[in-house]
Amino acid sequence: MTLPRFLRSASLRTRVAIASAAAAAAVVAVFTILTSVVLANNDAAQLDRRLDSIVDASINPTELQDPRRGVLTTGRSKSTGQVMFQRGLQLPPLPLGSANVEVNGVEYRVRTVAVDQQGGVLMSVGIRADSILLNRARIPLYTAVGVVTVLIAAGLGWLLAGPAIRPLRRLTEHTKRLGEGADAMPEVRGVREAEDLSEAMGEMLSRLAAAQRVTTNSLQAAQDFAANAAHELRTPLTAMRADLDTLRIHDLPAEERAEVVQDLSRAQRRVEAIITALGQLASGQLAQAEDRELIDVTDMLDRVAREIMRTAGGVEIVVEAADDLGSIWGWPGGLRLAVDNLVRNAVTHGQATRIVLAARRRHDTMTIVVDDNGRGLPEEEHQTVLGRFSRGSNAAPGGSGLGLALVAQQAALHGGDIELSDGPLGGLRARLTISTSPEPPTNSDLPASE
Amino acid sequence: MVDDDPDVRTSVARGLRHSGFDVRVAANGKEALRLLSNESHDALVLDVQMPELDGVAVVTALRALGNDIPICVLSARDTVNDRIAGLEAGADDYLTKPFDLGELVARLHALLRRASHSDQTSDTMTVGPLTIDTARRLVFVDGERVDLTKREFDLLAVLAENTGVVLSRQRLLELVWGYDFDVDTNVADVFISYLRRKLERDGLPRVIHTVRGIGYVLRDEP
Repeated sequence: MTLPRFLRSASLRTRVAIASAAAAAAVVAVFTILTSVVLANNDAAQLDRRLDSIVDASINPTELQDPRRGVLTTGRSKSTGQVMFQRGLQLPPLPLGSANVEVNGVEYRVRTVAVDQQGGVLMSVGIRADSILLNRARIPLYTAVGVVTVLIAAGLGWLLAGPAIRPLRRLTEHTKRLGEGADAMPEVRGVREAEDLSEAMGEMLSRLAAAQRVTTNSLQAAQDFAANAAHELRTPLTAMRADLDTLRIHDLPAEERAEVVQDLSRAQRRVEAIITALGQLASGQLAQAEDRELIDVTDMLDRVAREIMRTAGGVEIVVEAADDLGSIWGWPGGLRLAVDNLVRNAVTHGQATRIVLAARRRHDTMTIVVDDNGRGLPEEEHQTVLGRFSRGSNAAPGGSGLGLALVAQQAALHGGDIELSDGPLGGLRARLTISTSPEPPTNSDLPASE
Repeated sequence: MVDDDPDVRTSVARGLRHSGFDVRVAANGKEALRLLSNESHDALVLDVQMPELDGVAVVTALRALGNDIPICVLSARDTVNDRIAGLEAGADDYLTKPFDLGELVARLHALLRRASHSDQTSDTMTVGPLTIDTARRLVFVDGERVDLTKREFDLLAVLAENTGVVLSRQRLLELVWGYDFDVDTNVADVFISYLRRKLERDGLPRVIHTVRGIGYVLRDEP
């Protein structure tokens, strides 16, 4: 059982919010405590100062006082402004009321009152007014405290934000490592955004890897195919080169010369057959759904039979298919090619003289069976000859090695398959099964190379 | 003449016959070995890619049986690779399909001439860590025996007889293969690479040096 996601991992936003809140709380707490202590000390200091003033005034009423501690009193005649009495340093003449004055570099708060004696006296009483806290001398201290506070806040923020963004950092590290060989993305836990990102990246990577695998496979298949095709073409060309060299080097008698030329033209036809078959394979690979047409199977079988009987000669081809067999959806050229190849194989390689073409329809599959009375094929080759560039052990020379591969390709394209077995007429039976309305497979589903 | 393709078999055998050879054909390795064990033959033209028993297996089997028959393998792929299937197993030369019949005939004649007379002097040569016993056809590197195919040994022996002398590819083809005609092949380079691989196996210093643009030389110091 797993916890709901919002419980398992907080969002990065939440984490950052919590981290900043914690940092701010810590700074405010420290600052509040410091300020309280300082203010309390200041209050005490101010009280002490006032007490000092009172004590001074009571104990030493006449002594000259230290200007930094004492109470200054100066009396002036209201009319003349002349100093009548003075304790401590002299205060300047001031109007009635309160004022701040500087005496000897120290600021005093002075209250001036009128005293009705000796004909009117203005008495100014001053005590020190310069603040303990708001003191020029303390500026560096305050600056230092401020800087330290900022530094502490930054440090706290850095420390607290560290765990908040750790999953993101881990994600970055994983991503970096991907380029250096690791191909999987370990899952990152702890922050929802990072988890989402990690998941998305993981998915993207597996998609990319799958696409790359497909590309690599088809590239490999294409390379193998190209190598095979090159080899297949090279073989008849080797024979042709040897024959041409023989004709060139030696002056052969007419009879032998004719034999060499005959071999040459057979090899040339073989090259042609291979190139034609390669083209057909390629177009089968590129079959498009919109190229499908309705195919009248009975009609098609009739045409194949007529065509081959006309060109081959000495072969009887019987078509056993009901007239109402109906039509199927398919690629007419491809299907015709498949049936054509099967019948021609029976004639060329099986050396059959009688071939029966039968078609049956059941539900949505159509079965086309080609039976012949030829030489047949060893059972262990029934499957292998379907591969590209593979020939039966008793095949006639000059084949492309691609005929049955083309049949297999068309069968797959038409949603069915091809199966070879020993036939009832003594030769080979080829059973081509196709779907009546095939969906064209995507190219990657087709066997790229066999 | 061994090839699984009937067209190639027929045409090449016919060409060789018209060029004065007495030719027997075989369609695969098994047939070839059977033929070779029944009658004596002077040279073998062998396709590499065959069903049943392929060309490399035939060469390996023949050399393991101590059969020194000159073998020219027919390679179907003209890869720009110095690993030609069959040569490492002990074949003497190779041709890439399709090939010039005249070329095959000329090389076969040369290989047959080579095979008929052995002009090896019987003594022991030493070059650096290398000891070559031409009488017993054995090679030792630092006292340890190295297995060489016949053609590899012949090449090394020629280089050793000319220690310190730079031999061109053409000269090597002439001395080792008997090709005293113009021949378009890199078979000498392929065999040099085989020799180097065998002689330098345990990180031993190079004794066969390439002289760029000229050829190869065997000498102790670089």
